[in-house]
Parts: sequence; C-alpha cells; structure tokens
Amino acid sequence: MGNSNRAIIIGLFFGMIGLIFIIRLFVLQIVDPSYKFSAESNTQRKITEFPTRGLIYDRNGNLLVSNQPVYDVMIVPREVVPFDTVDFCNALNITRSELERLFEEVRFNLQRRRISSFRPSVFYKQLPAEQYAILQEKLYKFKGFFVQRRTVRKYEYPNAAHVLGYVAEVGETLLQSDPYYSLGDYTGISGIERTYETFLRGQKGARYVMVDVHGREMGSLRGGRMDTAAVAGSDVALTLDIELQAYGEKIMQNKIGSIVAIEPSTGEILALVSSPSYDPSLLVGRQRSRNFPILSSDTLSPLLNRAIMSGYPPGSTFKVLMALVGLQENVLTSTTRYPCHQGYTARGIHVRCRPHASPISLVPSIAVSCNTFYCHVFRNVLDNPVHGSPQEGLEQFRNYLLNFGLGTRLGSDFFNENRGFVPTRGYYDRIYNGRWGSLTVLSLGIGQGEILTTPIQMANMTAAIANRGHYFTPHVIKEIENDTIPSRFRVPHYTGIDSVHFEPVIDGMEESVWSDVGATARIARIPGISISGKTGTAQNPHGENHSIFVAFAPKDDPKIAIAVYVENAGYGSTYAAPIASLMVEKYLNRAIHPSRGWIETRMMNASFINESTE
Amino acid sequence: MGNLVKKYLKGDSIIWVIIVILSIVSLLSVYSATGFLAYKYQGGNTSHYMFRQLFSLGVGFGVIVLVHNISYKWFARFSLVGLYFSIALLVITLIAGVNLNMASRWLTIPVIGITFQPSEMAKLALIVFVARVLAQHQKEDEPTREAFKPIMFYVMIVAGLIFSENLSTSLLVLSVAMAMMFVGRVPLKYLLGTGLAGVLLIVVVLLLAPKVTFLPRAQTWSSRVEQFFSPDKADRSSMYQLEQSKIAVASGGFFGKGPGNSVQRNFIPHPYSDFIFAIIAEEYGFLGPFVVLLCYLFLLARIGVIVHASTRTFPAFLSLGLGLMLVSQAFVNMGVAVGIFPVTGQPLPLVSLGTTSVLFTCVAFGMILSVSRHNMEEKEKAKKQSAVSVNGEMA
Repeated sequence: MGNSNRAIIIGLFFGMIGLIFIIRLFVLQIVDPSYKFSAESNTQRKITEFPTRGLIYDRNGNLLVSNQPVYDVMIVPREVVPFDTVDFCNALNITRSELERLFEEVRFNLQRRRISSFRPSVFYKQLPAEQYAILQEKLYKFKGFFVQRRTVRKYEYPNAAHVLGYVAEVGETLLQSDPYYSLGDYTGISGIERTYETFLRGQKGARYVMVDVHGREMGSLRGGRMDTAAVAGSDVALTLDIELQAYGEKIMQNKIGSIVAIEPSTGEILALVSSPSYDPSLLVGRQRSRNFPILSSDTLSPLLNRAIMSGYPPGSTFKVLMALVGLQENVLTSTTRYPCHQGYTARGIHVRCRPHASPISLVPSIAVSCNTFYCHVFRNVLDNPVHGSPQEGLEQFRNYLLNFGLGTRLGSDFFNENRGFVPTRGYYDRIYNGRWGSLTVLSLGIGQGEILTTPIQMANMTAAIANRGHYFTPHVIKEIENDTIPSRFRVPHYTGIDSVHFEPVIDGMEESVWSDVGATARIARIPGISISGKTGTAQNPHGENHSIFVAFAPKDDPKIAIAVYVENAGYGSTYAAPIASLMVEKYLNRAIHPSRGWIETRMMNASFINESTE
Repeated sequence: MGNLVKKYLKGDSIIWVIIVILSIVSLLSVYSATGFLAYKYQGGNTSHYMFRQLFSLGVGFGVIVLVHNISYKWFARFSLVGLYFSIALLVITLIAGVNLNMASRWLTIPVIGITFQPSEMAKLALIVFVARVLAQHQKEDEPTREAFKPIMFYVMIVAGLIFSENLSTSLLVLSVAMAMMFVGRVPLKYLLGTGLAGVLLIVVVLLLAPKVTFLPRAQTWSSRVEQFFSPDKADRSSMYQLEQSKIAVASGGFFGKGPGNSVQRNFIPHPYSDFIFAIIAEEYGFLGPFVVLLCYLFLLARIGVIVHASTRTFPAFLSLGLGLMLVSQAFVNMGVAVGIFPVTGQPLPLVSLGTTSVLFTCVAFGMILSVSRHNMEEKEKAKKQSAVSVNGEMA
C-alpha cells in the first residue's frame, strides 16, 4: 500500500522533531550555563543597603554638613492596579500632567527593558520627609507602590558652597569606570565631596532576601548569614573656620571676587570665599534640577570657584616677590636706593609712579609701592651678567616664582585648580621673534603684563613670606575619621630664598600699613595687631581695575595669611585692603574694634556688581 | 490477575504501558506543580489537585476500557452526527462561552455544572470524519481528489470556529487533517495550495493584529510570535513565561532537583498544564523529559504498526489521525517549554492537569486501541482459520 510509505515520511518527521527536542534539552540542561544564573536571581534578591555619608565639621567642631532622609517612591509596574490619581497626585504634591509624564517614563523604560515590570524601580525620586508623611497614610491604596528611604545632604550653614561642593547621582562615565557604583547611587561631584568621596561615601551593604513569584520579600536568605551591613562614611573635619567663612561671604556680598585665608604654619585654609556664591541647600534633592540651570546660566557665574579658578595679574602685590628675588640674586640690598621722579624712563619707555620722596630704598619702596624701584630691580635680575642673557635671566626669575607656587597647580584638595601663568622664555621668543630684552618685558617687574596668578596662589605666596621662606600646600582637610590626611599636606616646600632676605621685605609690608609717610594701606590698620600687607591693582582691560590686597598677621608669629580680590573695585587700598584687615581682625580678635565699625559698614554696603554687568 | 488484564485490556499492550507511564508521570508532576494553586484556592490542601487528576485519569481509564471494546465501525457511523454536535457546541461556546484565561474556550454543561472545552471534542469528531471520508474515496493506484472538498469544508468550519479563541488548536487540527490527506494520497498541489493560503492568512492576521478589534486575542498571538522571533523587541512580561520555563529546564541539570523540589513552579504561570514539561525537566533532569518524549515516540511507532496491520482503510486513517493529533499536541507543548515554539496553550496529553483534556485524550486512546484490538482479533481469527484448514488437511 502506497499509503504506508507516506506514513513513514510523517513518522520520520516526528522522529526528527523528537531529536531536536533532545538536543535542545541537552543544550539547556548541560551545555548552556546562562539560564542557570538567572535561576539564582529569580529566587533571591540583593537589596542594597545605602550607607549614610560621613559628616563634615569645621576646624572648631561645628557641624557643617549632615544628612537628612528623603523617600524614593518605588514602583513594581506589574502590581499596579488602577487607583485614584487625584489622591495620588495630592500625596506626592505633583500635578496630573507630571504624573502622566512619570508613567510615560516607566512605559518607555519598560519597552527599552531598562526596568522590569516584576522588580521595583524608582518612580519618583527624593520625596521630602514632610510629603512622605502625607503619602504614608494613603500608601495602602496604591498597589504596586512602596517607599525606599535614602539620605541626602543637609547643610547647617548657607556658606562654603564652593569648598563643600555637592553630591548628585553618579554619571555615566563614573558608572563605567568604577564598579563600586550602580545606577542611582550618589557621588560627590565637586569640592571636598568629590575629593574625599572614597572616605565620605562609606561602604554599601547588601541584604539577600528570598522573593516569591510576585517579587514579594519572603524573609532573609539563609538566616541573613550572607548579609553585609552598610558602613557609614567617615566623618571629616575641615580647616575652615565657619564663622570667618560666613563673615567673608557676607562682606563680599554684591561684589565679585575672592578671599583666601591660610594659616601659614600649617597651610590650612581658614576661609575660601568666592563671590557671588550660593546656598549649598539649593542643590539638594528635588530642588537641584530646578536650581542648577538657574545657577549655571547666571551671568555672574556663582558656580565658578574664583578663588582657585580665576587668574589675575598680581599687580603691585608682586613687588614683594620681586624684592625677594632681587635680594637673593644679590642685585639688591636693603640699602640700595634708586631715584624716582614720578616714573621710570628708558629708551622711550615710560612707567609712571606716584609722587614720593626720592631717592628711595627697599623698605619704603614697598610701603609706597614705587614702580621705578622695581623696574630697576627687575632689569637687574634679568640682565645680571651671571646669567649670560636676559633670556636666561628670565628663566632664573621664573624658577623663583615657581618655587613660590605661582604658574603651577599647588596641589590643594581642589581638583580643578587653575595653574595661572608665568611666561617662559619660549613664550616671549614666539611673541617677539626671539628679539627681546629686559626692557621689552618690563611690566612683569611690577606684576602687570602676561603673568596671571590665582587668589589661592597669592595667599600661599603670602604664607610663604610670613613663614620666612617655606609654605605648606594649602588644604581644607583637617582630619579624616580613622585615617590620616594626605601626606603631601604635611611636607614644607622651600622657596629657595634665604630667610634673612625676608626681614626687610616684611618690614616694608608692615610699613605699607603702618608708616606715617605714604603708607598705601593705612586703612588696614587694626588696633593691637601687627598686620603687614601689600596693596595691588590688577589692570583690567575690560573695565575698572581689580582691587587686591595680600597680608599676614601678626608680623612675628603669623596666624593668618590672606589674599583678597575685589573685581572692578579700583585701587587695592580702597576695598581689598580694608576687607582683608576686617577678616584678619575677625579671625584674631573674633570681633571688629568699634573704631573700625564704619569700615565694616562701608565694606558690607559696597556693591560692584552693577558696574560689571554693564 | 494476568488473565483479568488480558480479558479486559485488549489491543496493543505497549500502548497500555505508555498510558500507565504517562499517568504516573502526570500524578507526580501535577502534585508537585499545583502546590501554589492549592494554597491559593484550596486552603492549603496540597493533594487536592492530584486527587482530582487521579479521578480524571481513573474515569479516563474506564473510558478507554469502554471505548476500545466498541467496534470502530460505530465510530464511522456516528462521525457525521458527532461532528454536527461538536460544531453546534462550538457555536454556543463562541456566543456564550465562560471567559476563563481570557479565551472563551469553555462551556458549562447546564445540569452537571462542569465546564469543558468543546474544541477537544470537535478535534476528535473531525479526525474520525476525515478518516471516514478518506476511506470512502480510496481507490487503487489513483489519487483521491474527491475527498479534498468535503474534508476541507468541515475542517475550515471547525478550525474557523476555534480559531478566534484558540489559534494553536485550530492550526493543529488543520495540520493533522493535512497530514492525513497527505497519507490518503490527496494530490500534493491541493495540500501545498491550502498550506500556502493558510500561512498567508496567518501572516495577514498577525500583521493587522493591532487593527482587528473583533479578534481580541490577535494582539496576544502577534506579541507571542514577535517575541519568539525577536526576543529583544518583546516586552518583558510576555518574555517572562518563556524565560522562566527555560530557567526551569536549565536549572534541572542532568540529574534534576528531585521529585517535588521544583522552584520554578512558583515563577511559571500554569506550571501544571502548559508548562508541565518544564517542571518535569526541572525535577527529573534529563531523564524525565526523555522518558516522556520516548513515550510519545513509541506511541507513534505503535500507531505505525497498527496502521500497517489494518486491512481496511478507515481504521488505518483513524488511528493515524488520532495518533498524529496526540503526538503533535505533545510536541507543541514540549517545544514551547524548551523554547522551540512560540508560547501557546497546548496541554501535554494525559499529563497536564485538566479533566476535559484527559477524558478526550482517553477517548482517542480508546479508539486507537479499538482498532488495535480489532486487528489482533482478526489476526487471531486468521491464525485459527489457517489452523483449522491445516487440521482439515490432516483430517
């Protein structure tokens, strides 16, 4: 019967399929391991326990940054059943359209398989505690939703935003490069939150639980023997004096500029003000997404840390350094005198100077800030025959500057320091086609021209002078719980200038405040405190000059070295000097002498913001 | 005892053995797979569903004994009546079906209050009918052209009625009818043409799935097929069953987790019916599924023997059709569990939990055994006759 041949074909067909089944079974059960791993993840769930971030204190033990709870509303999409949306919106304090957008997002992520409809994922981030209280009562009505507790930063003071930096969700690059982080984790984005992230973040813990088919927790796995507890982050203490910091920020209100105050004997930063600033609380929790764009698009750039990022010409404050180089290079002694008739003139080049007694020696030259004197010193340094050529002389000159930390990143605990700029021989060779001499670059000698320094560099330079020849890398970290601060902050850097040379220069700085004749910074006098300083005016091609003052006090046992920059405020003596003196007084005396109250009021009220924005 | 078995259980003894093995497998795996269900609906009475299945199998066993003692000629005689009856039931179901599992495949019998799937009955009636029509039109050395039209007419009616609610069964019925016609020497071009038309229809329906509002399940088919061919496009919830089933099979490993130790029964939807094969694989390792597969392959082989031994065409077509129906249903179920076919709701004959499925599977076995019994009795008779004639010669 021909029929049975055909029946055999069908039999063979089924036999083939049977064979395929067997092969398939074999592959699934024995060869391919991929589904075996999924089998594990099916019944167990790892729940991350988030550690609380370390607390941050100031140098006097005042709590600066702590943590506050927020609540992430989680969703298990498959378990959601229709609910009263109005009620839900009220509980979350969101609008109907926001809710729709959130669900749109969930749907989108489900489609892209970024989230699972069986597993919890974040629906609404960082619900504040007060709002959570309202939601909590109603939560039972909304199937498929629950709440997970997280902590975010809480700032006890509205100050020091630039130092502290902020914490935010970890970005794509860090996610890729550091296996510690997973999506949705927080990490320090700037400031010390970033620099000391590894200490502050602590150690995530894990809890393993058994789950049923609906993803509900059914108790801990193996009695919790595999669980690890979260380890809270280490607390840190900063070198900042929060009172001084707050005072500095207040005094700098309505001004653009910076204050950096350093303890010379340690390199500890006492205050680091960059103005305008912002309240760090603005970048916490749900507010960040609203506030960050406002801050970052502000034309006054409040997010910019000017104290470490902005380079300015140092102006006349540079003269103290010029004097030290001259002394060390033996082209200048404390008795050297130069005549000055309201200016320096050589081969058609004229540098103006203000009227003062002539001839003038080193100490009064600093006190009255004589340009002529330093034109001579600068030219003598560069044209010193021992160097062979002014080009070589410039290189030597530059080395001194580098030793003071100019033109280079200091290596503080701020990762985004600007290195400033100290021109090299090659730089001028390119500009002047190789044909230039000391006269060509004369403006360097009085701190103008191409040279750029940052406020922190100038404060550090002042600290080195206060220390008579060495400095410690400026830093804001004072203590780390269960750890030590980086060793680079504890080794002194020597400037290569002999300590004897500092005395006449420091005398000059003292005179510039206290001298009876021609003192440029008379306004900086503080009753009972031997403050020494130097004014400066940075030429600003775009508008009014920047007012600069560097100082330290007391003269013989320096406790504070400070650099103050006020943009568009004119002469150093008018604004930067009084502000610096108020800071020093505040730090050393904790109060302002009544006789100087008027200065404080005037400084607080001064505003240079309108001028700059025009 | 042996005599008793011989007296009441006639026909191919290997098929009887297969029935017993599958019943045992069924009880073991149903018991294990229904724990969750038992807790949810039976207040933790874990053996509830096992006893229900035992009851179904017991009744089914009685049905087999009963049916295999009926002469197959009666099946032929009642085939058209049975077909009309099932078509009527299908129509009623479609209009007033109880909505279970989102597919109206179920009908409640008014008096007894039992729900059952008329499609199970229709499958059987149709196969008997097809076997009869094919047998009627068989001629020596000539293709059976005339059988094609009446067969296709009723196949289309039945498949059409099932199709909107149970696509896989209707495709299965269609395929089995085609295979029977292939063996029954209906010209190949007819079959190929029908096959092509069928495929085209399915493709069109799947493509238009979002727009055909009158077919509520079209969306489900489309997503299942889409997920099967491009798993990365499908959304997670529909991938879930398949993935969990594969996990079950894989985590069983070669030796299995042991009876009753399935973990995946808590993750797979319907672990006691559509995905029972996966649970067997998980608990019994490679061996369990292998035995089950072998049972169905042996069944097919024995059917081949029965077909070969049949002297008439109707019983040959009948047992072939029924055998193909059972085995292909089993294969679809197994194929889904190991991820070779898209997800569909075909039960594993005689193993999956479900009274309707078990009873009609038993009817099918009964019919096959009836043919087998008949063949053996005829053979016996022929032997006796030859013995008589030998004796006669000697006498």
